[in-house]
Amino acid sequence: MRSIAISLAPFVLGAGLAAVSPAAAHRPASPLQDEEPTEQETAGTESEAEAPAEVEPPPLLAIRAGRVIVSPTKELENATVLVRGDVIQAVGTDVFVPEGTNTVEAAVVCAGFIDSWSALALDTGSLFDRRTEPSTRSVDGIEAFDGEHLRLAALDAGVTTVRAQVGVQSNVHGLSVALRLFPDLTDERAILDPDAALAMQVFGDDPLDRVGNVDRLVDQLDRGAAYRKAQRTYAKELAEWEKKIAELEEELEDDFKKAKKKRDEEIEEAKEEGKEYREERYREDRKPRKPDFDRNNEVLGAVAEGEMPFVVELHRIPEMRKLLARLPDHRRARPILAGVSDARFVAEDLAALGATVIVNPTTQGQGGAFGSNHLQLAADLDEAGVEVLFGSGGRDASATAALPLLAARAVAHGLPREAALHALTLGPARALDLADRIGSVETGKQADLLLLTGDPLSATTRVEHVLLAGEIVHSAK
Amino acid sequence: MISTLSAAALLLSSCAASGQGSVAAPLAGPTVTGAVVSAPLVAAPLEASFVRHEVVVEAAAPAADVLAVRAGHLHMADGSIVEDGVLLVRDGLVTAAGADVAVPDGARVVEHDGHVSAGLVAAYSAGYLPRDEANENTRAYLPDGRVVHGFDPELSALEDALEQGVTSLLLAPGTSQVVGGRTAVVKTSGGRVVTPNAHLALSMGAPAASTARTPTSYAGIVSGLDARFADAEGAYAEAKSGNLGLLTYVSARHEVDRALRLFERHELKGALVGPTLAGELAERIRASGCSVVLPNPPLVLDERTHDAMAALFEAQVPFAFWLSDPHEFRASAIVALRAGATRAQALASITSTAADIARVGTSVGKLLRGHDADFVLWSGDPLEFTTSVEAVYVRGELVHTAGHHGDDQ
Amino acid sequence: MLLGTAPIAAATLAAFTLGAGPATDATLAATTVQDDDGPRTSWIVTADEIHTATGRVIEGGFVRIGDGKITAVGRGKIAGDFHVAAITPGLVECSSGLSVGQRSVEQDSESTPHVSVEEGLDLFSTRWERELRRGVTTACVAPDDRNVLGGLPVVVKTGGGEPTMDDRVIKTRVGVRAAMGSEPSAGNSPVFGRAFGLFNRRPTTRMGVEWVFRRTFYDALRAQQDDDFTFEGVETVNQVLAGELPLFIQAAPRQDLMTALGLKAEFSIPNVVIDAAAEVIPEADAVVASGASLIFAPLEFDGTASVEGAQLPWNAPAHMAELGVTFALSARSTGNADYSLAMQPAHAIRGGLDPVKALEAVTIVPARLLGVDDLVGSIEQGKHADLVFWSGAPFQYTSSVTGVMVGGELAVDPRHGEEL
Repeated sequence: MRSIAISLAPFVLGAGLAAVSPAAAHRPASPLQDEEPTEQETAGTESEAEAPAEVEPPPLLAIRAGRVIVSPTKELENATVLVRGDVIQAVGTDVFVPEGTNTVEAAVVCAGFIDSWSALALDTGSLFDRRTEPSTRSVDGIEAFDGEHLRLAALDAGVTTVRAQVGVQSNVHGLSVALRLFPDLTDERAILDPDAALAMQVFGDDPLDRVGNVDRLVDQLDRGAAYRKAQRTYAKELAEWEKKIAELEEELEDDFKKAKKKRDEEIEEAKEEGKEYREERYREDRKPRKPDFDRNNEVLGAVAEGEMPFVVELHRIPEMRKLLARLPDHRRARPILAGVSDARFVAEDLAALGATVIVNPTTQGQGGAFGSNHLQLAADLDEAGVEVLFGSGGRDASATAALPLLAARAVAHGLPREAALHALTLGPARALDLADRIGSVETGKQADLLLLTGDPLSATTRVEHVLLAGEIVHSAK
Repeated sequence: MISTLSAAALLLSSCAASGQGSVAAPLAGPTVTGAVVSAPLVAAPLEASFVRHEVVVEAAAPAADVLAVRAGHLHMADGSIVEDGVLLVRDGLVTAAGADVAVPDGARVVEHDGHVSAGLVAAYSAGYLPRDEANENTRAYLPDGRVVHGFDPELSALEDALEQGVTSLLLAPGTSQVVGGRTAVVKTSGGRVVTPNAHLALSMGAPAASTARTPTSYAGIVSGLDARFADAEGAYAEAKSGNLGLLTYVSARHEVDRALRLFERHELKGALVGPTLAGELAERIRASGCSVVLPNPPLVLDERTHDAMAALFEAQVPFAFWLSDPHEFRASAIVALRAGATRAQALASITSTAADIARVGTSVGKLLRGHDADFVLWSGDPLEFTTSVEAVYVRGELVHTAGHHGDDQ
Repeated sequence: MLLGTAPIAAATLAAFTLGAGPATDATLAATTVQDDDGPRTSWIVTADEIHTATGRVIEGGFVRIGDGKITAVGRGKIAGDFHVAAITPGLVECSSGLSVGQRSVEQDSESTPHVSVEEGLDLFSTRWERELRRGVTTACVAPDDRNVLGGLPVVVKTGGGEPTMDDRVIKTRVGVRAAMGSEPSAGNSPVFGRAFGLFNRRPTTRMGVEWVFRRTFYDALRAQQDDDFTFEGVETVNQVLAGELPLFIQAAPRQDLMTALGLKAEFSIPNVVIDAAAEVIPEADAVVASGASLIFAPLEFDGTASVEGAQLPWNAPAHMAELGVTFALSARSTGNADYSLAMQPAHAIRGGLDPVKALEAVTIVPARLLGVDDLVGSIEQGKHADLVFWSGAPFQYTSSVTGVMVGGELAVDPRHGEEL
């Protein structure tokens, strides 16, 4: 709090002015940033002047396949995928392959599968932690060593990337990590996105409790939005306040000399009159108070503003309707609904919302605790126009390996083949903001590929090789 | 033939009319398999079959029309697949099946692009009897108990099974009796009983050693069975002679071992309804001449279960699968295929081999002349997860078509 | 002639064989290759100490194994397949409890002396392998003590060959199992005033247990006199009365021990072995006078037996040794590695027992009590090649089991450096 005493003004102002002017320069660009000035990137300009050192380009790998499933809706016959380093450089039927390029043959090539809700690679204690918060990060709960056989089983089944989430027994689970299943999980390339989404589930034993819980969850989004708003308001108010101060100080500087003269006169006058001279103190508006940093609200705010998607697991009709009723207040938020056992009754509403849904088909025909057949559910939702993704349920790490088989079974229940493949590849990639890097066999994306002996949904197909970042990380025995 | 049958039918129908219970008729041997009972000779087959009588004999057939099914892929009894095959059906039975089968004029023709196979057969089931019917707990030895008396054709579980392509299944007494009685094979549609008397059902598993009654130990089970098979009478004698099959429930490998030793002592053989790891005793099972009915394996097998199943296939032990959740039934055969069974073995495990194990292999489970015309029209290869049922026929009648999802609330 | 004086070349040896007389170069240097498929069952093993359990310890010797049997034991430095610090015979567990549990005993009656526990075995259980890896190569399985007279135990090898009755069971009708404690009456309730069920019957107390026992034996005596009277199991009980079959009686606390010894005297049962023996010191005189043998309950750190909470101080075996009582040590196949059969002698030695006696108490003495001492229990020519390899002097806290061989098959290979 700065109060400017006019009597002391010259000295204080002198010091203050020196401090004020650079302040205008480092007004924070966003409320989330520090107030420290960022360093200027000066190093780059210097090095550009020098000649760059000779670096060998990463090696080329050519994959020739009878069938390339570029994306769920696009296939090429007798095509080649050219991989440079970790990136797909070209895909097509007449790609030029330089002589001497390392070449691999395959019957079928497709993008690695993504498990939209997995329990793989997580420490059990963290997985079942009941006290997590929005800011709890699954990336901190990764178990890189134990459970390797489960990850290898997943690779054998063609799953290359998973969204892993800790805290599945709490109301708000925390932040999911998007992981690529490198056999050595300490490989830095394994973490595709440390904070891919916020996840939560609707709690409660009876339907009323659960509906109330939906309210409480969306209230948290409200808080996040309010937090963001408060930060924006703060930024705005701070800017205004500083502007006001600057103007004031300018004014003061102009009047400084006049004021000094007047003050001297008044002192003389007072002395002559035998009175004490009383200072006039001026107080400017209080500086706006910065909202306290709240790590949970940071996350909720990002979610409310749509910077990060959020996953909500819920099952019954009343809670789904409740959520649908409250979501319009958060138009920028990007919800992904998971579980959704009874969703076929609200399918049109979900479709109207443009919702994306994670179905967790289980290996029991009747899906888990809520007793609906999720394989049928996937087909019904797709038919109604809802985007379906597949997850393995997020509680049992061994269930990931069965996911592609369950996707095939969903086809038997009426899910179109393209939708099944979409649910395993491009769908989750897009929903989790990873589609620039994975999810299809397209130029510029990471070479996370499966080399298969046949159609990916066929029961007898085997995964011959798995590529992650252009490297063969797993091969069938 | 027809006159004898009519005479027999008249005899039985008079028994039916007088409200007699089970008839232990001399015709009740394993070779006489089910057909439709008709108290009046011209009753519509479906309704009359709700009368539950033991021995069912076919009445004289009315002038029949022929159903011809043209299949993109026809799965034959020997395991081969015929492209553009034809199946001919008349009076509820298959009259011809194969590649060069002529379709008679006037036949009703069904065209199906996809696959056609015999209706699926379950050599053991759990959950297809009303709840308490399989729980006769008071007497450990009940050789003449007939589970067919507990059969309820209206049970909704039967319809669920039918919708997944299962047309015949074996009903067995519960596993808590050492000798539970006689198993029966029934159709999932129409209430028909294929045979009321397939096997003598034994249990040498843990539930049979109870603390509610004796025997309380495996030794007690074995001594009880040893005594009954040593001076075999009645059902035991029938099982020993082979007139009646033998079906034994065992839940652990040491129980399989115990059963095999018992069988050896009394020169018995039969079906072992057993654990997935039974394959670790594959050679001995093979040598004993027994077959195995396995529980539904998980979709993704761990190494040990995989190796045990593979050992079973390699040793050529005849195997079939339990039916509990109908969605998992056909999936079990696909898992077997993935674990190393041949396509023929895998499909047979839910059709022809299952029928053989259920002792009804001469009438169901195969698309072969003289067998019941129970078949399924599939959307694709039945050994693919992506395939679904499109239509099911039992005895030549269309009893189910797919396409009604989500009606149930 | 003897070793130690002349330099020993690898090819020459001055062997001293136990049993068949001096071995020749030819036999001892014979190849250890075998013809048939399957695990290897012919070896030559050398050791710094070989504790044969015959009364001698061989320093710097060898054991030769052919087709799963011991073919020679002697002193001498020869080229062997591998060398270990010490060898003892495979341990023999007298009272293993490795049955299928409740279903090992037929409870339609409290007295079923004729029922064998053969049908109460699960040879696929992982507990067998656990015992084997801890050095136990032979184990006696008795029916669970839910009946007063439970039936006939069997002796089973813990490994070797396939888990089949043929490969593993080496003796049936080992004796008759009886129990004096509270287990037979647990689960029963009085007949009066309740709905009828299988377990509404005697015994409900120790008095009842003793009653059932005496009733059975009185009936047997009566059957000897009266041709018209008989019952199931009468031949078995008569064999016990004649001393042809030993009677194993579980009796841990003092009062059960006295009951058991009293019954022995009452019926003049010649051959009685007290199993789960614990409170023997207070009744030492009675034990000596009865001539009964003992199988001790497992020695545990707190000085109590886990059976009936009876007191079992660690000097009990030493005390009995001084008095000349025949006894074996037992571990009841506990899951706890500290109380395993390989550790029991160490505890007993700490309680004052002579180490030689301690070794015998887990090898040849139990083998004799079970009647299988012609096959196992010591390192002698002709017996099964069941051996335990140690990292140092056996049954010392500082030593550990590094290898186990059963029937000539190496179940745990000391060459792979596994510590157990």
